[in-house]
Amino acid sequence: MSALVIEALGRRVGARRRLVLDGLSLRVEAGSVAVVLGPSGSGKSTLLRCLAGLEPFDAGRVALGTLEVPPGGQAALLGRVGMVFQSVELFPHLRVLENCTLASRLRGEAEPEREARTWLERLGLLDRWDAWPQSLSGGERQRVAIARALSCRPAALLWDEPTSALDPERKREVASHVAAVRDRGIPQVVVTHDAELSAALQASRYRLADGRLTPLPAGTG
Amino acid sequence: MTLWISVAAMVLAVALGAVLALARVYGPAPLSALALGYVELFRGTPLLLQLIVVYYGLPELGLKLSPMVAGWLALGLNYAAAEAENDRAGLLAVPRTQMDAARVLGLGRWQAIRHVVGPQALRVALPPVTNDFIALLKDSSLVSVVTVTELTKTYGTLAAATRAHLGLGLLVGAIYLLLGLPFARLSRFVERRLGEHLEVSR
Repeated sequence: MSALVIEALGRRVGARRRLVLDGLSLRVEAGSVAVVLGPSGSGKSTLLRCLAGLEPFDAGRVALGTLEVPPGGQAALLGRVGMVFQSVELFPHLRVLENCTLASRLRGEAEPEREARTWLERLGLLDRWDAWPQSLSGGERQRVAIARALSCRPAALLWDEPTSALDPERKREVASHVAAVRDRGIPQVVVTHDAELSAALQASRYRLADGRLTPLPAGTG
Repeated sequence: MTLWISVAAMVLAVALGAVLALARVYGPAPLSALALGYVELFRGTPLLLQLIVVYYGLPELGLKLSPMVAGWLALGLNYAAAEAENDRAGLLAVPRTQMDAARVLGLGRWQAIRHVVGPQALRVALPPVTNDFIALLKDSSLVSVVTVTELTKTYGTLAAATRAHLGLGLLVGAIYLLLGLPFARLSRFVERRLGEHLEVSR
């Protein structure tokens, strides 16, 4: 695995070309975690969407291993950077295992189920492989979403407010999931305003404000 | 005749409607506008007028169609507008973030529509599509104006000859009902099958 490098990322949105990301830079080494804190509307979602390849950026670059992404080239990140959505977004018409294998099946992989089964097992969901998403609890759904993202062997993983939809009991588990992914050497970016999660993670912490990141001293959340 | 022309027209309507809906929701602006124009044109003018234009009007441009083909084409083109609106409602009922989730997993736009958004949209679009089929079955009586002898036309001829308007009318009404009922039943069955696991919504 290699580092996720973000250099001088710029992004304007809307008819008034509001500046949301203003030369934002960040380097996340393989196997490390960056936590991005910041109020709503500070551009956290825009940052994640740019890194996932869902939104273009106007300036700067993103690098991931040998992949170099210039402005306008964000589509190259699709399928390479995984994302755990705030709203989870399981596919309701597919069973748990099908959710995790859809992408690898469509890519024509020889063993589309292998990685999916590995992650479902690690996350304690293997016995739920043929359940429909609607029959799962909130915590289980999120674990399926994590397994689904990792089944595609992403080179980086993004988390968008991973604790917002969970009850307090389940919130604590998220930190252990992040740690499990870190052990695989995958660089991760966690966007949250959950101070408890931030404190539970072994990570570098940043605050996003005015379109840039400011490192926060260790020990603050 | 009624059943054949209705089924054939519905096949055309569903196929063309799906293309129109995809163009409207996912197509680039000009294509989307074109699809909207189509829908407004065919939804906003009477089917009877369209039928007459297709059968009696097109020959002026050198395109002469048989009564059957003209009836099929007019019904299909007209109902395509309605099906496009059904499909569009279905596509819009699926949260945009489902598309995002599919794209992030590496699915192409078309793959995401085919495997993620489409199947969910279908579930929403299916009940009104069946409704439309039953409406089409009845509207197919209009093709008698282009000399196709279908059920209502036959009724008119028979009733005029036998002067049994009421009795034959009830009989013909019953035939329309019987033609439509199996499709209504089929729709409810498919709906249940598709929706089994979707009852508890997120």
